Amino acid sequence: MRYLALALQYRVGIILGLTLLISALVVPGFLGLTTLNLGLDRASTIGIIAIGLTVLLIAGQIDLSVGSVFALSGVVSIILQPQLGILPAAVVGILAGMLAGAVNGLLVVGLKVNSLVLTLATMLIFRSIAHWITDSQPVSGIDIMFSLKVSQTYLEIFSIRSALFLAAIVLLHVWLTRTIPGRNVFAVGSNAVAAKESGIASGRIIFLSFMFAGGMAGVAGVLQSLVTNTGSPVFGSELTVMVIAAVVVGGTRLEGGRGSALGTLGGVLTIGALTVAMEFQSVPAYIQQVVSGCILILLVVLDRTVHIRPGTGREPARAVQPITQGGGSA
Amino acid sequence: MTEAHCALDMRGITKTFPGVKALSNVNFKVKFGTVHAVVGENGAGKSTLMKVLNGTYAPTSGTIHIADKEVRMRRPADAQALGIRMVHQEINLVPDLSVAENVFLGRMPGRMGYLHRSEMIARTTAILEELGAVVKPRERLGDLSISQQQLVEIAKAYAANPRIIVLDEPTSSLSDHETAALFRILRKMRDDGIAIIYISHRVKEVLQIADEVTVLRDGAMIETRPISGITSAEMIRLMVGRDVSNVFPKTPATVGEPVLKVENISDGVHFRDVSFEVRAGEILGLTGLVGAGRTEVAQTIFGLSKLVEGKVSLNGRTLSIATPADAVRAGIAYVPEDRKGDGIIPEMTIRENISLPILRKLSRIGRISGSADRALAGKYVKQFAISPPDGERRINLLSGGNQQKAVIAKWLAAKPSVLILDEPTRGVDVGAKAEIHNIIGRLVGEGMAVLMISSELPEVMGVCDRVVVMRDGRASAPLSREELSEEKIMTLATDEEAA
Repeated sequence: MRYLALALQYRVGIILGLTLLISALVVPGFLGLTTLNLGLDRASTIGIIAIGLTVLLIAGQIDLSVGSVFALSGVVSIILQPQLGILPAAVVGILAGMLAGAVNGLLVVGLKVNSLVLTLATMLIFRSIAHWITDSQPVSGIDIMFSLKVSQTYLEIFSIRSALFLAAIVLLHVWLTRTIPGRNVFAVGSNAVAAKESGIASGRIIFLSFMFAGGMAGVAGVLQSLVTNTGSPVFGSELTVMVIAAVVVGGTRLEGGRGSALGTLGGVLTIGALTVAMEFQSVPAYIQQVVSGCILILLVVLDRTVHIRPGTGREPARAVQPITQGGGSA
Repeated sequence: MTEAHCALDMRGITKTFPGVKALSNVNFKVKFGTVHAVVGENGAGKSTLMKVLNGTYAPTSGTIHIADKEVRMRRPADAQALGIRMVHQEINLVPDLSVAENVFLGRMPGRMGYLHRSEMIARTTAILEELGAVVKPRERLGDLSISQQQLVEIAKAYAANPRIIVLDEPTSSLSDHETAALFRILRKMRDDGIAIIYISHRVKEVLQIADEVTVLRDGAMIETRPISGITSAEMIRLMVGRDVSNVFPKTPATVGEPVLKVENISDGVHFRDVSFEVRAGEILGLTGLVGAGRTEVAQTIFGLSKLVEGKVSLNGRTLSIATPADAVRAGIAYVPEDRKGDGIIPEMTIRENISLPILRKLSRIGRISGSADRALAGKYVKQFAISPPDGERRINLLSGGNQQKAVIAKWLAAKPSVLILDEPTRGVDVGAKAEIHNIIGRLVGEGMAVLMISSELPEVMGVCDRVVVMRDGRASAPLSREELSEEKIMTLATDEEAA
């Protein structure tokens, strides 16, 4: 049982190792620098969004609109290039992402709506806005040379995107484990009532988490547009699912209160490796998704079986909210 | 020391809700360095008064003085800033954080947001040691037992250097042994000059720990007295406003043949070699310290956890029970300890809760007969005097005692031959307790066999025909009523040699 528990704690690492091993055996030259660079770069888009979602999921919320924000931010950053120049337009694109996140956060906290339902709605709205401002056509940037510069590879393995992603993971790790606001995010996601009664501003934490998630989706969207020199309203339509899959594979709990940056890193790399390996084997895209889906189911089932503690057959007691109000008659 | 000062002086507090006067003109004074008990039945206004004190409710009229200064509190944070800390009956901590993080929740030490983890752990260690709590600061809170979590809750309140601590039913999840440890902690805090407000249903505990007691009834302050001048009978009389001659009356019943028989059962983890029988018309008590394996025995009989060894038989027939559904079919009913978690479906009405296990019997080709359903609920609401007497009321709006009655009704509707009750009167006030005992008495009078798990010794001794004491997963031989004494049970529950 102890080995199983230990294996479970590092299961993302084991899954990632297995994925890499199998990929290396099946795909010739998989561990070559070019492939790794490509895989890492591919994973970074998922990864940068996943960083925002990790925080949000730990806080007990979810954002389904990140794929739409990704497209919207990209479109904004391209469309404004002629007026503002490349870099200022990029900044505005990211700000648009944060604004979208802030809208989500305000509505969830202010109206006390379930975030799953709310972001399902804003997912449609943000996507439609992207279609609206582009007349549903892809738009091109002003300088293709700049795109080439952004997609350059450094030290033969890092692109700007992947370096940014890895740095952000390290920062996230420190923030989640070593800072007071980081720990408070866990508290809010695990037991919002207890957190509130201890003087933690749950509402503000949830709002800022949404804004952060939107901002990160914006960063990923802007980078994608800079690299491709294109803004398209259909970008990232299947991204949300992949990102949530990566975060959950990394051990973050959908109900909140549990998760880690390193887990998310493992989850993102696993999904990235799978995608690249299957692409190299010319596996059709829809079968790729079937494989990713099956792996996700496997993990969730595994997670459940082991978290019911051996012997008691019950989950450890969780804090319960009082049901009866004061002054109830006997 | 500030002992001469009044820690808390609430003057003329009245609180009205639309249509209800929850508190009327309550005067309540607590001195520094004392344990002040507040007793009263459910609905007497204890929790409303405490919610006024911790800033959740603003009083309709009246003033609050803390250390002789008038204060106004608009939210719990205001009360906390004034040095008032609440320890709730329901554990209100963060299961996914460590013990230390919970103790310092909302006030973690650090600079510019960077957490000083080692300092936090050192300070938590010191506090836990001071309180004599055997809990490791780095452990995940959700992995602790309920009673350990309760201690963490108290440590959290204590760590904030409060002037006033309010404890609401702190012993409801503690065994007698742990209660004694808690009392040591409370006396220590009292000697440090903290004012302790101790809310409890348990008269005996109040007599043990309190220096003064205030009795509330129907939203009014009845009396405040030093504990030395009051007896338990008197306190109960003040609480209910009438004389309760016998707190735990025993209804006589004729004991018949054995119904449920367990022989040498083990679950491989929590208990082994447990044997006893429950006879028709008998209440068999199962007692012992929390963690002795009582609940696990009941859950195993009911099919909630796996029977590894031994035999369970009902009316002479050996049962093989793998799931609760098997147990229900065989005629066993189980009313769990955690009423809110396992017993009721809070969003449903009383009627829906009661008929849940027997919907199949109430329906024809898949359609539930509305009239039969209502008749069944009506019958039990009346028979058990569930208040308010309205089957369409949502069950979570009822008081704890009435919820418990509805849960028992739910299982009776299935007409079991054995009823297992796990702490049936936990967190229930004196009046409702007597009613529940009455119901149980009536059931055994009709020939049902009842297995009752309880930590409360007076209840066990008053209600049960025979008692089995468990310690560390082993069961004693049953004690008959004549053999019962508190000392004897405690020895069996704690002592190595005597068992």
